[in-house]
Amino acid sequence: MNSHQSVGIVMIEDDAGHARLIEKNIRRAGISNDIKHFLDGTSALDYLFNDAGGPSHGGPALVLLDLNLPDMSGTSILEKIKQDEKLHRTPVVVLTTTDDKVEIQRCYDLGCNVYITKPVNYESFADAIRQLGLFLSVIQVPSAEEQ
Amino acid sequence: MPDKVRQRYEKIGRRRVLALLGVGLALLFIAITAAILTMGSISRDTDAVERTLQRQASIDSLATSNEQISAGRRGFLLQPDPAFTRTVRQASSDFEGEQKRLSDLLDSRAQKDRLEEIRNLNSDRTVIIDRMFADPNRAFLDARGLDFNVDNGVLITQDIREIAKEMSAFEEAELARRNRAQLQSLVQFYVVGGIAFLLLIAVLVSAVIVVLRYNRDLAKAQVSLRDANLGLEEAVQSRTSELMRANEEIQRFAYIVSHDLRSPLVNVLGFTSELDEARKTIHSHLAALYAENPDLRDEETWLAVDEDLPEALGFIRTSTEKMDRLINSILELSRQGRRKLQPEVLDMEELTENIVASLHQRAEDAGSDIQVHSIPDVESDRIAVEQIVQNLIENAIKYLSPQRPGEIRVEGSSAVGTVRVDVIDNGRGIAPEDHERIFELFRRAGTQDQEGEGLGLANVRALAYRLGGTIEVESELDQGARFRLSLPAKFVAQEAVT
Repeated sequence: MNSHQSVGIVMIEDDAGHARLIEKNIRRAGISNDIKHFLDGTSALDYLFNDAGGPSHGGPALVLLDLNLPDMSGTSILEKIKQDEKLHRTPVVVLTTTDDKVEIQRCYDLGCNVYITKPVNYESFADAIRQLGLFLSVIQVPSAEEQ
Repeated sequence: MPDKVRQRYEKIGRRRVLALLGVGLALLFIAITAAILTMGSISRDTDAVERTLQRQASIDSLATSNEQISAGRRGFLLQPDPAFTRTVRQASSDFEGEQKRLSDLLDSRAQKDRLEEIRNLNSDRTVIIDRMFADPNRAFLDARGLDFNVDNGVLITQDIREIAKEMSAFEEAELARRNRAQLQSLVQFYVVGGIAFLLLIAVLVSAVIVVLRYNRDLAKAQVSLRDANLGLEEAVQSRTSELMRANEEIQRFAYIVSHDLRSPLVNVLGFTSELDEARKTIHSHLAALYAENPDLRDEETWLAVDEDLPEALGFIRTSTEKMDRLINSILELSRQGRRKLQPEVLDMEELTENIVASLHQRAEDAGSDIQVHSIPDVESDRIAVEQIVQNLIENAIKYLSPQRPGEIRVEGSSAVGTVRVDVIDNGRGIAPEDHERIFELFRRAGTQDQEGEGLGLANVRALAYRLGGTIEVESELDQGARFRLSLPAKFVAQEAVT
């Protein structure tokens, strides 16, 4: 695989604090992938579907998605990604505060790859992010471009 | 209209009609009695009139015979013809016969006296006449110089005539009196009867009016009752749906609030950890620095990093964690409130036994014994009922009295349309002033030596209400407790009309 075709992380998260914490923990877990942060769904979708360097035009990516966004529901973003021909293989990690079973079920039904409840317990959150780091190193092997 | 008022109303109406009918009956009785009495008096008067007429006839024929005797005697004296003798004898016989008949007919003392007088006079006359017939010549001669105005026979005849006239007048007066009495009786009859009849009609009319008015009022009351009922049903329906909507709104609100509250908490806790990480860095740096250069050691700085900061961070963390638990509890409650209930027939004994089995270890550790007695089946939502029963039994295990081994009984009974499940323990009990408090969210009672957020019973009560039931507690401090769950035997879902 191409070394500069590393997986870009697209983080869609409206809470700046959460975004910072997630980033810190990702970095602390030893993951140096590029992180693109979007505060709302519209700009994130615009990047995902239309940006020249975005995932739909080549760059392999992983999406970290918060379900509570100011302008739209995270599930509709998930739906759009998973229904798009080019993007539907992009792994999506749903990261949200809801631990409602129905909500989780719905996300998996829509094709989310991992669902992580944002725990307030910081240690386990950090653990989860580290796990995500492992996950990221695994998916670095099959590039989204290879299909 | 409340039942009591209606009953009283009916009673008044009934009493009034009964009183009127009683008055009518009394009037009818009076009228009939008056008629009977009047009839009696009239027939008595009629009899008396008849007798008076008979007496009058008798007196008249007595007077006639008197005149015949007198005329016969006078004729004989003028001309001693045997024909006159016959006439006189015949008349005398008639007179005596009539006298006897009249004597039977008379009943007045005065009249009887008069008749007696007549009888005496007639006897005297008979003596005179007999003498005359015995010696006709002498009588004839005597008669020549006789002044009829002083003749005994003539005088007797005149006297008898007078007395007879008196008697006749008396009887006439009697007749008039009787006739008057008869008339009076009749008038009396008509007056009494008429009044009674009029009163009777009045009573009947008022009874009919009372009944009609009563019926009309009753009909009116029924109409208003029906209206009220209809209105009530509508009101209840609209209130129920309003309440349902409000309840749903609260559930949604609780959900959103608790959900959104978690977001900032993630930050607080996350950055608390970041702070701690930073502190650790500073701490180790300072430790190394002081180890190398003891002169630089500043006790205050060291204390801040080594004690004050970790203490403050620890408080922030525990408080935030507690807050998170509370928010999670609300979230859980609201989630349960949103869950759709699915009623099914529950074998309550099996359900309870399963819960007891799952709590077996905890019960054993606490040194308590749990017994399940007969519980009737219920048609309700399984998860909700399980949660309630589990919570109650857990509480019983949790709050045992340290002074005695725990004995927990789960008993069932059924009343009309309701199944009761009693969870009875001999534990530490709850003071009566806390009976309401323990069912409130985040409120607890008694010695706080057990973990908990004050959520269990709040949840139990919310669930019981949702299932259309109630939860009650009977307890005294240190006297054990009895929690009674009452559930409708058959749960009927009531969803809001939206």
